[in-house]
Amino acid sequence: MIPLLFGPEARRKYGVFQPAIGQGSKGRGVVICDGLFDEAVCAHRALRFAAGSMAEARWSSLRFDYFGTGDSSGDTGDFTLAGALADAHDAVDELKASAGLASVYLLGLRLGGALAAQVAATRDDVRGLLLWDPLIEGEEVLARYDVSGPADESAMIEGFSLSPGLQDELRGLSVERTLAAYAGPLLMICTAANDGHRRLAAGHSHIDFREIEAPEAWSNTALGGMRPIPSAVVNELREWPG
Amino acid sequence: MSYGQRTRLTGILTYADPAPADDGPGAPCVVLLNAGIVHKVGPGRLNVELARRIAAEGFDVFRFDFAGVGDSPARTDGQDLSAGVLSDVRETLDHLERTLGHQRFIVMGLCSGADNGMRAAELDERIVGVALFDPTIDRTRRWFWEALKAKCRSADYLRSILTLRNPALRRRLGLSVPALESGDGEGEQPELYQVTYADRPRITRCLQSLVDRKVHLFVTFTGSWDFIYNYETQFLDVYPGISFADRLDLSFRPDADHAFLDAGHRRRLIDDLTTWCGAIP
Repeated sequence: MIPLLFGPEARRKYGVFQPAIGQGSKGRGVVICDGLFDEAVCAHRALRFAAGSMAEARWSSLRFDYFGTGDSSGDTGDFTLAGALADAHDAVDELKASAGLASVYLLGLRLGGALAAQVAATRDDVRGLLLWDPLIEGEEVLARYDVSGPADESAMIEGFSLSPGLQDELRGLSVERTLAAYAGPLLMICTAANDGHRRLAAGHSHIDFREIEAPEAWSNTALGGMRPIPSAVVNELREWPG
Repeated sequence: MSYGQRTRLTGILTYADPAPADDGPGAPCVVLLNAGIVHKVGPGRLNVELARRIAAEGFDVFRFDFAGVGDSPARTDGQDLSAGVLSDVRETLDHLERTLGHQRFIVMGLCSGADNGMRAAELDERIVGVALFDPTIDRTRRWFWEALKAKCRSADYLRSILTLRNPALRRRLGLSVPALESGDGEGEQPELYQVTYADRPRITRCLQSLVDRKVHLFVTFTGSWDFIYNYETQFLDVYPGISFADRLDLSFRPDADHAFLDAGHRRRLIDDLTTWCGAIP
């Protein structure tokens, strides 16, 4: 694990580069896009474990925090989806440079899945997309935190700020629309599949959809981050695309 | 920063801004500890906010992950968790002394981080201040009285007594008590929560040694801890033999939650901490 800072001076991000283990070819690279708010805190252990396990299968990876979240610069109120999308693009460039790769994969957990899909749909140096319990619609975030009113005031979510602007961005977020513009390899793993996931898989024949019985890495408990690590999911990720 | 002789630890330094003057002893360096297994950002990014606000008052602030937590790999030196945590704190202070020249430190922690901070301060004389948020504490006789008073303000409780449905009352009367439905694992506590001091004599000795060394203490309890702490001065009642004098800043925040997720409570905590840090000579 190599901690690093990357991105433009005005949007410095904290990331952890995990080089692939082993000799010979450079292997593959994967940028890991996290979820948001308490889900990111809870999923931290699982994503660290995933990065370590994938390194043994010759994956280099970069985990990172979006601007305004985690260990990255910026205040919580600075987080926007447009900004996070730019951060994910920066992370792709950083991993390609750090690992010496011409193209990479993207792995997105929850909201990170929606962002990863948007990045993959607009670049030609993304080899494949791995979605882990992805949000299908941004409205799911608002529903999960019971934010139902007009987007005219900030809501506080587990110590994080959900600004009116971010609420508007979430209302406009749709993975289904994004994937219409992406035809590359796609693995979607769900430990908590809903109708949205199944509908998405049914409508896109190129999605390799797998429902796996495993703990939800991202869901909250007393102080966060205490769920068992879903190693069954990680095993699927590290071996894909086979 | 990545450092450590035994295990590579990962931490983030927030430089004092404004930077301290070159002459004089300089302000102590503040070190933030993990709360349980939540990584170094803290619950709801508490540690990040603490670090930035305290640094803005002229203190270098360092937050790091214990081995096996967050971005620090698991230890391979064979130490058990209890000893390992203390090694990690010592290695961190050594590193900050070597690279930044700091010789005095203030350690802060929430929950198990508070207990670990207390343990570390007992062993390391470079620590001149300890801030404890919801540390381990014993109940007192008055705690039970205060809890009863609070319960009696609840109509549900009074109803359960009058209708003989109260489990404690039923046990006392020798009546059957309905079994609880099976839980969902919420009570599961990872090991890191179990390495701290648990008994009052041990904590008393620790606190006494800190007082003898004139270590400054900031101790605060939240309403989330009301199952063990429910009145302002309970801490003093638990340790009646210790003369904290003016080195103890004790507070009880009944409306605050354990992780200070509410912005107002968080702001007040940080304001109080920066004031307290500034008063340490």
